[in-house]
Amino acid sequence: MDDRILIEARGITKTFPGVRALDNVDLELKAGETHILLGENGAGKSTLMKILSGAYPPDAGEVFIEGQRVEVFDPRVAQRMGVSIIYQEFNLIPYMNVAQNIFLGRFPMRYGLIDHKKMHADAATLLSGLNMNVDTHTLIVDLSPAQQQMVEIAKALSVKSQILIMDEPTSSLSERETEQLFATIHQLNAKGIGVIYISHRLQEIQEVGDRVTVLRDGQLVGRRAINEVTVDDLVGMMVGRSVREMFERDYLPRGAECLRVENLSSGNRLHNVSIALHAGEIVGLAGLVGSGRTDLARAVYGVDKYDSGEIFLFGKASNNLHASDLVERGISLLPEDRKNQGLALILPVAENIVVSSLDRLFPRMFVSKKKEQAIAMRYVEQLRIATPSTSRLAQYLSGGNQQKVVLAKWMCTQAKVFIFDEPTRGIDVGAKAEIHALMNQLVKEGAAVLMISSELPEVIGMSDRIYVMRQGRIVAEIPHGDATQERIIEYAMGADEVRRNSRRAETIRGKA
Amino acid sequence: MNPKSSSRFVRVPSAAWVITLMMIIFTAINPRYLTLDNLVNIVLQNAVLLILALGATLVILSEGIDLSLGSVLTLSGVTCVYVMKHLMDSGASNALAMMAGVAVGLLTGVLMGAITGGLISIGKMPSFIASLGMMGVGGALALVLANSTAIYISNPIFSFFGEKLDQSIDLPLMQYLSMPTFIAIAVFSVVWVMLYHTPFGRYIISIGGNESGARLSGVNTVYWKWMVYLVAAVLASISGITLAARLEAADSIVGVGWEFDAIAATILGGTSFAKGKGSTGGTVLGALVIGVDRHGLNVIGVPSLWLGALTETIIILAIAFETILSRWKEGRRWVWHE
Amino acid sequence: MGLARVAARGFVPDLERPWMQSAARFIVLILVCIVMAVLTRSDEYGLVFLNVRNLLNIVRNASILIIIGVGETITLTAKDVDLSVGSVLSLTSVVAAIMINRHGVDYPFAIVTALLIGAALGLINGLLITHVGLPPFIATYGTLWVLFGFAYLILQGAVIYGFPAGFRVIGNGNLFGIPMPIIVMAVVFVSGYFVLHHTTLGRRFFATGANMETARMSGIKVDRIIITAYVISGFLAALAGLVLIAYTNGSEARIGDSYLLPVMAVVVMGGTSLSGGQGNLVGTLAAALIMAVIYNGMNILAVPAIWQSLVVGLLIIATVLADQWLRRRA
Repeated sequence: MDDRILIEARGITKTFPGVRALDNVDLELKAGETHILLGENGAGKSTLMKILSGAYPPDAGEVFIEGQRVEVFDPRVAQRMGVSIIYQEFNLIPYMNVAQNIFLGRFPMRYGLIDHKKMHADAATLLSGLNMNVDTHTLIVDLSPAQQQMVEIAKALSVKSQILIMDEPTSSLSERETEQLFATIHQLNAKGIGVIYISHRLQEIQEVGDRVTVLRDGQLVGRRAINEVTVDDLVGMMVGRSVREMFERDYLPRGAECLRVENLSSGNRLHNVSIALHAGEIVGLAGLVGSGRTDLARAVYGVDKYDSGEIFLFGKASNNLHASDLVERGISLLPEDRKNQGLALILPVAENIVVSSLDRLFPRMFVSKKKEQAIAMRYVEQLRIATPSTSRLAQYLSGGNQQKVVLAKWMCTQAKVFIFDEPTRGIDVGAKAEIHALMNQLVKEGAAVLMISSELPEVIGMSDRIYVMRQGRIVAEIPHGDATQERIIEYAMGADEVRRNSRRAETIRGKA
Repeated sequence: MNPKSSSRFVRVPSAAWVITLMMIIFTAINPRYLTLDNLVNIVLQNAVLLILALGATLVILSEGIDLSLGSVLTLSGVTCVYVMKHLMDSGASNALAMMAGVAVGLLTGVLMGAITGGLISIGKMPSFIASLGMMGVGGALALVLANSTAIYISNPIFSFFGEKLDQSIDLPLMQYLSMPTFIAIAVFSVVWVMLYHTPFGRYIISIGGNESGARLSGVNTVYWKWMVYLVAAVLASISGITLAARLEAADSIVGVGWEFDAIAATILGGTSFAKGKGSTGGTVLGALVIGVDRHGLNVIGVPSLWLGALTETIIILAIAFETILSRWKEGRRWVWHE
Repeated sequence: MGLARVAARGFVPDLERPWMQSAARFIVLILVCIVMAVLTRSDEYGLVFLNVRNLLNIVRNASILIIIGVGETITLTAKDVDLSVGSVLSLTSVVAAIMINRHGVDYPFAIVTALLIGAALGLINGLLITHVGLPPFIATYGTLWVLFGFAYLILQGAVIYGFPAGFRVIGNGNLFGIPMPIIVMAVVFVSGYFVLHHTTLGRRFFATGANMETARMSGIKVDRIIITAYVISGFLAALAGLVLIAYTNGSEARIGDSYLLPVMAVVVMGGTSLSGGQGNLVGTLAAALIMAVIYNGMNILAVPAIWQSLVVGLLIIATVLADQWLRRRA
């Protein structure tokens, strides 16, 4: 790592409706450096990354690439200035081969036709430079995610990018593939290429990073050199010491068992998961993105099939049932992607609310708009949904109110088990509190709630018990009295593993 | 050098099996089915459909659909013959009239394709509805120009391009070849080169496979999407002109429904409706399925009344079969993220 | 194409003010009528267009289109297009015609059979879409050709002429002075409107079309809903066919062919979105009337039939373009 600064961002601020994603953030990348961008979900990492790669401009602040100020924020301009970004969902063309993907739009030509020989030769050179020996004729669909990632890197190299931004690059990689990726990154660094590496996997950060910038809630918390900071420091910076929000919870004696999952396994994503849920309690499910929480929710709710294990709903076996049957039994799922899976955006609020309870509310198949709107209005008032009328289309509501509509839908079904997947993501503070109050009310009235959340204050503040998942397994069950953010993060990231492996990390970095 | 790659997801389309199966059944029903003459006839009659189907394939590869291709075929034949006839009636030479006619026919394709492509690519209309509308427009124009009937033309130079080769030339295999077949082979070669050896072909596949990804990689998706429809329409007009040469007439309703055959041929050839997967070779097979189907039922003596119903039913069944097969196979695909 | 621009004014989906959308279309309808009345004014006969008989003719001609249009609107609401309606109409009416005319079957039985066949064909479409996984326009376009072939097979190119009076009442009769086709159309329209907007089934259609994934996660059996929509469409196409042959007192194999393009034009012009979840029956009704007025006017002005389908094609394009333009401005 030399001292030449490849990219520098100063005072970046970006606001979206209802939420300030970035507030006066700085970032700096030196040549040959791997700079980690660390932070929880919603800390602002992906917003910053998108600005740097030209997806959209900041509201305030400046970006300099090799000393030159960026005037136009456009992906193609960014690419020309030497920035390449590799998203988690790759931008490759599935049924074209490796070489064609690498040189898409810049094919070498001969006599007016594509020069296949040269293209494949150049591609092969790039790949072998990355220690990857895949036939350049292979179609992208035939490659593993790790290999596809390598193709993306090769693509970036082929446009002579000096700056590579990688978003959670190891989320679909095995351990060995991760090692190979790190070796590749070290190689790139050796050539003077700088890498901005977004992650929250602590064990990796030590192996591959030179410096780290920590964001929290859109603000810059600090910038350190990796070898000057400990795991505890990083965790502390990420979560902050103060728990700003107050959570209202009435902790009740545990009621009857509502949901029990025993040894649920599903392919690669879930391994022997067992949890239990009782009336009157909110159980938190914490873990990193990709740890299997949503997979678990979907398996329990009947949307995804699973390989083995048993599910008991109110004591009755409910294995491998489809969602429509499970709804009748009183279980509900408020999905993470509430716009595309929880709501029908082009339909009015009233219709969204009654859609799962149609038979119960209108037993003779006749739907009176008046009744529909009256019922919807009841929930609108009870949940304080901000909408001028129940015939307003759902797409015009704010995030918090949209979530309330989804909740209303399930309350309307008189469900007794609620699975919330990221209930307050993208919702402003005021609405968050309201949703929490609603959850509290639900369990007071005898329901059971399973809450998947990546916002630790929320998990700790709201849960009776917290399960922590990592890589498809339950690794801890923490009662609410013992729960601290540090403890949860340690389990979620395997920090305990990190400490055990820190000596190994030193050895690898020494090789670079 | 094979620019295409082999892959466990690219397989021999079920079309191959379907053709084999059909031929076996046909021969069983009527042993006189399997003659060389018959097979040659299939290929000859199929040439026109193949050219059209290649155009449909290009559009479908880009994840679009063009229902107007049949109308373009008809209209191009009509405009070509109309102009030819006019010129010949006013005393122009056969050759000149033919060249003018062909030029006008091709121009028709260019115009229709440009409009359709513009509506879809620039106007952002769903390809289905835009091409449906153009289908109506094109079909109506053909009817108007030809006065709802057929225009007959007697131009030996023109007809030459629609016939079997001169039987008197004493070379082996000569009697089995025909100009339309040559034209089809020529067109296929050009399309093949375009698809696999020019950037245009790669852009089509990228637009079909991952349009936003293509755009982010710097491909001018609006322009190339427009071009696909233009090229497909030109191919349709080539097939319309060739057909008119063979029939020695332009029929105002001849192309009705051919776009479905073209699309069916494409699907049967393994080109799927998403992700830009498919091949021109497959389309050849797919077109053969349709050709064998139509021709075979006729030859084995199926009463002409039953022809329409049976042919189409077979096609739909074949499509269903191919779709189920490919969905089953794709269940094992790598997904991007998960 | 000022007509199209005006017709498209109410296009932005905003169920908060459905009456405004429909009102816009009826305004267009009145405008078109005025235009037609003026265009067809002749020195001899005065305002030919406004003749009561002519107006009744218009509505009666629109009836067939509306009956099919209701079915098409429903499938578009729940999922996507049904391109086979013309062929379903042809085939079922051919079957009925043969049963009544050639085999002396009692016409009530023939009617029921035709309706059942229509429903069964809709079922096939639905299965091709949900269980085989064909895109709807491929599935229904395919069945279009298959059915066309079968219609031809059954009728063998002949034309059937002459039905018993009892049967013909459906097409010819009058109820309180209103022609039967209009009555049937009114019944179908009202029932369709009722089902779509006031039943749990209708709510499920909307939910499935608006967002299939959400609908599934909300506990709706989407496959069943989609199949039901196509069954209804097939059924209504058959019904329309029966009315048509009763009125024209004859049947031939291609009788339904000319309805596909107009039906698509009508639902699109009527504001029903091609992407699902936004069925607008009243819009379809208004658009069908507009279309019928235009056809009627063209007939009075002796515009050749060929040009008429050209006009329809252009109308489709113009209205969808206008719709896109408006959406981007909204």
